[in-house]
Amino acid sequence: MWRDAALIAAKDLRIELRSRVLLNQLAPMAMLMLVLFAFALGPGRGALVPAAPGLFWTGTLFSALLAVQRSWAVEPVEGAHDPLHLAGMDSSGIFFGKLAAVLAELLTLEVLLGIGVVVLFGARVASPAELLLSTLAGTVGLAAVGVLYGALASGMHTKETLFPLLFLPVASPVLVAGTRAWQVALGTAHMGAGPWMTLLVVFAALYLSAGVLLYGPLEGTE
Amino acid sequence: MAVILDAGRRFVRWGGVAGAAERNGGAGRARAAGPAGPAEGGAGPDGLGTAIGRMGAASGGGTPRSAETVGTVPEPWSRTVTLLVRATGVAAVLGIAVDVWLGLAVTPPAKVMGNLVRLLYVHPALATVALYLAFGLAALNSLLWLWPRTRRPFFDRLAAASVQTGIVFLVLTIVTGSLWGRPTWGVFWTWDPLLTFTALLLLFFLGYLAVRKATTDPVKRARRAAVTCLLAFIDVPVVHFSVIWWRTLHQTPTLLEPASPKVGGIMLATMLLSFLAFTLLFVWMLAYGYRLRVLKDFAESSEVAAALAERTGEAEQEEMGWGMRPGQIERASERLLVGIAEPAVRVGDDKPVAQSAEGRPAHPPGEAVLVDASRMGGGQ
Repeated sequence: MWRDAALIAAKDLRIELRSRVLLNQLAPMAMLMLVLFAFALGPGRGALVPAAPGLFWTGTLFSALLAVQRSWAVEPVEGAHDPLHLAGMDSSGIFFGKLAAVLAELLTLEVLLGIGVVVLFGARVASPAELLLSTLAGTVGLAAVGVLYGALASGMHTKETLFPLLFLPVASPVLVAGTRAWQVALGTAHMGAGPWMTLLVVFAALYLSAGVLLYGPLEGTE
Repeated sequence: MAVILDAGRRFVRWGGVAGAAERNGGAGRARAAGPAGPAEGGAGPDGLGTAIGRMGAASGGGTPRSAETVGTVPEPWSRTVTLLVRATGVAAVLGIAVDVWLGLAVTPPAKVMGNLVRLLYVHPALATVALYLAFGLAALNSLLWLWPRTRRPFFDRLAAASVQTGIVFLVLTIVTGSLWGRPTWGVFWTWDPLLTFTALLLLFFLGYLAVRKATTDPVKRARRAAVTCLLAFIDVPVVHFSVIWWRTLHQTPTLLEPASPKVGGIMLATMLLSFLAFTLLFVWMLAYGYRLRVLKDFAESSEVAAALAERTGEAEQEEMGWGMRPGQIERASERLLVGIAEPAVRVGDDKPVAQSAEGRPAHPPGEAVLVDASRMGGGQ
């Protein structure tokens, strides 16, 4: 399973390295989002600093939307995975492979967004460990949900509009919990980050298991 | 429930056309047209089958075979089931009528909330049916469909009907809740955990319906809809906790909760009656939602079956002496399709109108004006 996952992830990342869509389009897009947020709430830091955690996670959510759509756009034909199944590849392997590629891309975007939040919005990091852990847990959850719904919407009519409608409500707990955890990490809220970290980890675990269980039936290979 | 289960069993026995396709396990990739699998032709990626079906119907060339395939509309319910469903409907309407009478005329206004308390006889029942019955039933049926051993079209249709009916109840829940909230809390909407949760649930439901609309392949639709429902269902506890903590851990709960009144006597009876009446109403609507899906599936598959029969009938006629060989039949059907696409070809592609016998462009009248106008515009 892990070998299959590595193969799929390597394939997706190789396509990305050669096409540079993420680097040339998604990364500027993420930066653009930060600028737009500043236009909406700025220019003073009074509103931007308290809102920074929420803006970071909103930016991440929308970047995830684009990254996942890109991840399914590189599988051009519907049923492109059928030969993989025929070749004996594991469904969970394909799921984890797509997930790993999306995760790598999202983490890259988040580094950029994080730097942007600190530099452009003037946020200060109070506890980096909580920041990193919550970001990692939240992003794994987002990538898992994203890949699942990406597979679900692929090959449907109106998949471009269907995917956000399905993905965003289900991913909303990550926005809630991630924002709160970041507020703690950036020192703008005084409360324990414990429950939020738990929620992020539970969310990620839930959808990783759902992926293992449902990805096969979703592609019609049970 | 027994009513619907019975109806389902009957339909499975009857062996709906789409059902046959699902049990064959084919993912809707077009197979040879035979009487056993007419639904699969309809599962084509672009609704081509439907287009041909319409043409066939329009041309009016009904062969005996197509009459045989399309002729009888199935009746999914036996006489008993129909009677039971009707009885449920009558009981629901009567129950609601009595509830309205009790709620508006018999029960007294409450001490704190006054006449607002009368919403107690509508809102909680609606919310319970929508949040627990509808969503629970949809999730259960999705699971049963996904489980290969219990895979029947019945469960897919019941899940869809359940979500659709659930949306009606959920919207009514939100509307009655807002009407209650305005005089009680002073606002129509507040970011209370339960309200936020309900709003997200409505979005899940709407997403589910959108998935069902996004494909015409019955097996793909059932599969993806079932997965959508389960993916949303496992999110329910997480959303629940996140919105509760979202309120309580960050801000002080400022909500003025409606002082939970001591409900008893006639008020309690009215409230309990409302639960019963709305549950019956839900079952009634669910039964008809299910029935509608059976008939819709039949309509879709018989349209395709008619088109296929039309083609086969043509082929048989040709073989019997019209002198067309099998290869020519394919070409004839292609001509049929070109017939559909002809206007697009003429506008987009200038080959068919490029040259007339005199060597001048022979545009159709309307297009000639357009082309000339643009040329004149470019020259000036």
